[in-house]
Amino acid sequence: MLSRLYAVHGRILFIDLSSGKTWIERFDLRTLATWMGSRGIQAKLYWDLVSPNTDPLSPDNIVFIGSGTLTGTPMPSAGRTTITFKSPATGRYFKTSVGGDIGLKIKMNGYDIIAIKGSCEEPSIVYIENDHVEIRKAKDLWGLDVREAFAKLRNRFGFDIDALLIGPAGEKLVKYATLNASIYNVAARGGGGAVFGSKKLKGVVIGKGSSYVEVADPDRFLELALHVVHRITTDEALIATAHFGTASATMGLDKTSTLPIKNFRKSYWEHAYLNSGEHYVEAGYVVGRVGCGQCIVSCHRHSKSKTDRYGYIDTVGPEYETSNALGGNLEITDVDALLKFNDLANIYGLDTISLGAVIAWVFESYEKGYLKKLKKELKTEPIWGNVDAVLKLIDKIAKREGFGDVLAEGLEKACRKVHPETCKWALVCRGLEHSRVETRIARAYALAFALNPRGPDHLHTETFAEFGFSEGARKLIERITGRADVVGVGKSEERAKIVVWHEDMYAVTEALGFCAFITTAGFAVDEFLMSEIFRAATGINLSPEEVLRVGERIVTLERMIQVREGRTRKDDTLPWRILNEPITTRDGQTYTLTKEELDKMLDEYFRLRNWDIKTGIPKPEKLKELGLDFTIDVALKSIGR
Amino acid sequence: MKGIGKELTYLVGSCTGCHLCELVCSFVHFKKSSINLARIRIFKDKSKAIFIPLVCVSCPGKPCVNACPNNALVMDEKTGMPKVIVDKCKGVECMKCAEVCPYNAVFFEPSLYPYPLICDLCGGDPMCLKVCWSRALSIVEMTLRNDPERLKIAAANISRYKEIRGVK
Repeated sequence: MLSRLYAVHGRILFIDLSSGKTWIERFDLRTLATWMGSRGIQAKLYWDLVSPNTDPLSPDNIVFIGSGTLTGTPMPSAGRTTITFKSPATGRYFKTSVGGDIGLKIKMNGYDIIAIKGSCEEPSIVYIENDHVEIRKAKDLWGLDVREAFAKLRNRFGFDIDALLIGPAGEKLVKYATLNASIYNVAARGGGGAVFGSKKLKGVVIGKGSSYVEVADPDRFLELALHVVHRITTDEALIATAHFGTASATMGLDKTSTLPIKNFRKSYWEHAYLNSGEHYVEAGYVVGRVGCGQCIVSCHRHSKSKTDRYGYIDTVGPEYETSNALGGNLEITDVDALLKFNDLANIYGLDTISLGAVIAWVFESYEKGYLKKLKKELKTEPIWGNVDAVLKLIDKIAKREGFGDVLAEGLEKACRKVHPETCKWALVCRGLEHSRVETRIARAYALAFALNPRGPDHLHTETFAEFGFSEGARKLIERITGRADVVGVGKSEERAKIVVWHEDMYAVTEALGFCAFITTAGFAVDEFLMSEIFRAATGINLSPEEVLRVGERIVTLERMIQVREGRTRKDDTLPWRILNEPITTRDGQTYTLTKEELDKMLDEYFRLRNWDIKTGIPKPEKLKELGLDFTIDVALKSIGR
Repeated sequence: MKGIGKELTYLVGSCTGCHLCELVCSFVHFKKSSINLARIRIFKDKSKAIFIPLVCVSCPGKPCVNACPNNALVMDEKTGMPKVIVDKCKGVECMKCAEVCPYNAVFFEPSLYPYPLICDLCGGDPMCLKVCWSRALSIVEMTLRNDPERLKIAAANISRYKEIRGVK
């Protein structure tokens, strides 16, 4: 019988900004065995501590920042941090994930999770170094962009710090303001930056720390770590990611007509290459690779502009989503412009996916005769391909100036305010702007996006294997579904099975701190290997089936949290354009994804999950089976509703 | 025998700052994983995405060995790296070796370990090399120890580090 915790410290640091009190709460072996790590433990804490009527921008909202179970060990690509909070964009439970070194720093300071509640009276920061936890006034940082603020903090606390910071957009409560770790690693979605802003919290600064991590079986663990290194460095998908970054996806998506162009009116583009990772490298924009904590893949880019048309830019990125959202989506090919957009979004603290959807909607609305006055306000025409218009809109949104104030509320509110008709080309659903993949054609993505507690977004259920771009991807889909003929896009068969496996896998991936690229977009670690790694790390014995069962438990609890917050099957849908307008592929085929087709996939999904088909609420017997008895009352009440 | 007679050096510009070498270094020496127990350190300037590995390059002058007042540092014949004789070492009370090291490659973390942390090439088969995919680290033959090219790389690296940190 195990007597102690390995891999984690079992320590949650609570900070109440209102009272200034800080305290430690502990979690035990049973908690770790039930949830495997951050994402699961935080969902349970959220269930216990954040009531369904909490206003996301009130002091009652709690932000949980949790390092992965394997973070701090020598396991490659296991340095991801999960951040959980109630989202001001969606009004519901939201979890987001970030790379960089912040998770490693949390572990090295002797904590697993940091929970922040309450709010400060004046702009402040939290400074943590081992047991020293301090809330400090930081008026001088308020108003500074992320890079400036980080530079000041580094001068004050030394080179070894890391920080989770907000930019001016977060301070102004922009609904898609980000939390930036290590300056450029961004927990982008859901408006976590606005939650910090509402607490008058500029950031959390973490020192070098002097703690360490031990594992249950060091010899076996080292063997497994070296094995994962081998798996990563021989995986076709991950080799491409290491060479060309996440934007290496552009060309594959273009080829399969799943690359959303011009606000989802086109699915491929003759200029796609100019938005691709291959181009950034081959044309010399990329000057280096940047690794998140523990990650040898190092898909992050260090890039520089080639001209000074938009000033000399020395920055990180752009990732695939940004390349498309602010590139092809707006018909922009100029990489220097893209670097400038990306850099502005980074230092203001704005989510580039939401930004791209908002600006594309502005351009299309203007094209269709709305927003006539905007030309005067911007002093340039808001039309496709106009770099100047994009620059001005980013600025106005971050500062909530003029029409930027309306756009800062998010696309769902903005389109209703301007004219309900414009909501037809607002690529938003459940308060979150749609990620950059054509869901009318990539159908596992469609189903996953409809169900995702975040909104229509990829970083919760990355079903990248659906494309079948690599051998690993094709094998995985065949293993999950038992069929080789369902690999590829444009197919609706077996999508429920694909989504269920990916949801469960993604949940434990994040709980352990692994990057999703290792498990569900690249294919180095599967549930079999994960089971062994978890045993060597913690001493806890979970079979591969039990590993996925933990994933199911997390996914089901997250669903129940949202049920308690009012979610029903009616919410399991996609933006209007996706469900009502056809899309043409590069070889002339026309695809529609009707409500009926989506419903059919949803029915199949609920049947597989043993959730109630009519309401989408997990059945009481399923909740009992997963040990989620504490949620049964809510389920019964909601089914009767 | 494998690896013997080689020294660790690094290639400028290819480190991606992932810290995995530090964690695995600490892990194999202490069965504890910590960036503070590593014998190699990655210095980061996050705002400029600059990453500089700091590690003993077994420089020819052996300044640390010469400076040790307690004869606690000797050159390991097998690896060509300085080796700490812990029975003789005064640890944090002294720290002369760290003071004189021209490459900022002697580390102290008194709260976790009382003696200087210096790369020992894992006895000749360094583990950090096995986890570094960016090939920022490599080993060279003992005969190349005084190779001017190698020392030029190391010197350029350390002066860049000192420039960013604003130290002499």
